[in-house]
Amino acid sequence: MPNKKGVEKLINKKGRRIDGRKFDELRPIKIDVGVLNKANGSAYIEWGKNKILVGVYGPREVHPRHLSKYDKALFRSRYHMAPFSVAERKSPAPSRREHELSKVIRECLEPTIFTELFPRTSIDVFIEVLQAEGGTRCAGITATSVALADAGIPIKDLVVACASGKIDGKIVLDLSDIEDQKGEADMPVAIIPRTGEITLLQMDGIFTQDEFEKALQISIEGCKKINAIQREAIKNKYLVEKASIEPEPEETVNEA
Amino acid sequence: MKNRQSGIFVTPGDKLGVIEEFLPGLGTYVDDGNIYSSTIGHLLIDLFKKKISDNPSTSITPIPKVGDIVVGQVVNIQDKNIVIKISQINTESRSVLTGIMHVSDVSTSYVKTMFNAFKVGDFVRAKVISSTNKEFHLSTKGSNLGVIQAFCSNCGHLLVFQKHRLRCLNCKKIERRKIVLGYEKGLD
Repeated sequence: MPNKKGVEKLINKKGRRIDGRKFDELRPIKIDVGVLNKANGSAYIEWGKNKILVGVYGPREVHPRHLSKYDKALFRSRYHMAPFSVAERKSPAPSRREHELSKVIRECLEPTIFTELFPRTSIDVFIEVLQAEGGTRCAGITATSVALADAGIPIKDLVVACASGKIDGKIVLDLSDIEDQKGEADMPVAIIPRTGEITLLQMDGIFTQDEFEKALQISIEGCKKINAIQREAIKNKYLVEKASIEPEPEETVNEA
Repeated sequence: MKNRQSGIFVTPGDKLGVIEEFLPGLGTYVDDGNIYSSTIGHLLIDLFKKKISDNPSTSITPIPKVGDIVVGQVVNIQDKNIVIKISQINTESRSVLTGIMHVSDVSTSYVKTMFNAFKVGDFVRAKVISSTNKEFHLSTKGSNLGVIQAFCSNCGHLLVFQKHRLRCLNCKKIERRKIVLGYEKGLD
């Protein structure tokens, strides 16, 4: 928070950021898989103070019908921020920013989905931001790829996203809301971890070429850490489910 | 991949092997000569058939293909067309797609109007004959295809096949349908 002088140091003398993180440290991330009953696949992510719920519906019939494609599935996504997700009430109507994020998220995930397996259908993704604290698009992408896997939709890999930026002249990983606003630059990056392909690269602010390369490097390293969290979350859901089902038949056999 | 054996847990993007050693099976894909998992599941290695697959832990809504037998409910009837809401494909249920059928595909014999063959609410077993124009075109030509469960248009009770006619035991109404062979046995 700003001090009394109104001038704020984003990095203190010890090299720590406002929330106590080092320059290349991520905020704590928690992912829950399969949280919605009516959706085919879903995920809930808590990334720092970000709280995002993602639902995946489909493959299902396309409405309106004329949008359907004869050779592949139609992939649609909707990023939406709840009116209570930010400090000042946000109008629930989709803003210019939300339209843009829906588009970039859609284009970032589509290359990993085998849409050609489901012609004439649609796969619909709904990303609902319940609480925002900077980096919601990265958290949204990360959670959506987990939700797509939970829906059973064949995908090439789990897409993972992480931002990096420049604050007080230093390149740092995973900007929070205040660092994004007061800092010099912000760059979200999404990658397909297996191949290292970049599917999203946006930038707000100014980097020199060296800074850009360093920022991209630490973003990719951050993405790989988050990818491990994604796989762990899936494992927790599916292996725990299996373990909780399996012992039951044994008990009934013993009683009989 | 370390400790590769049947039954281990795999997530999308995990490398399962190379195409020289295995055929890629269900839930896998090939990229640059390597086999990767595409769904959440457990690894299944068939050393006899030399096949590696990912037995999915998740389930997915099936999509009908040409030649599939589907079961659905009639939701709309016009003179020459009906709309069927498909609820089962082959033996897998849990589908929410619609198909259409033209009067010329109802039966091998001449049918003048759809109102002589179906009523709204009937359960129909049909075959997917085409998927052109973004639609699933169905057919009930053949003795094993047609209405498998019909309801009285007067009182809504289940119709029963007796004395070569479809009869409503409640209001004694006699109705016409394109029924399957063995309608009287009921839904199996």
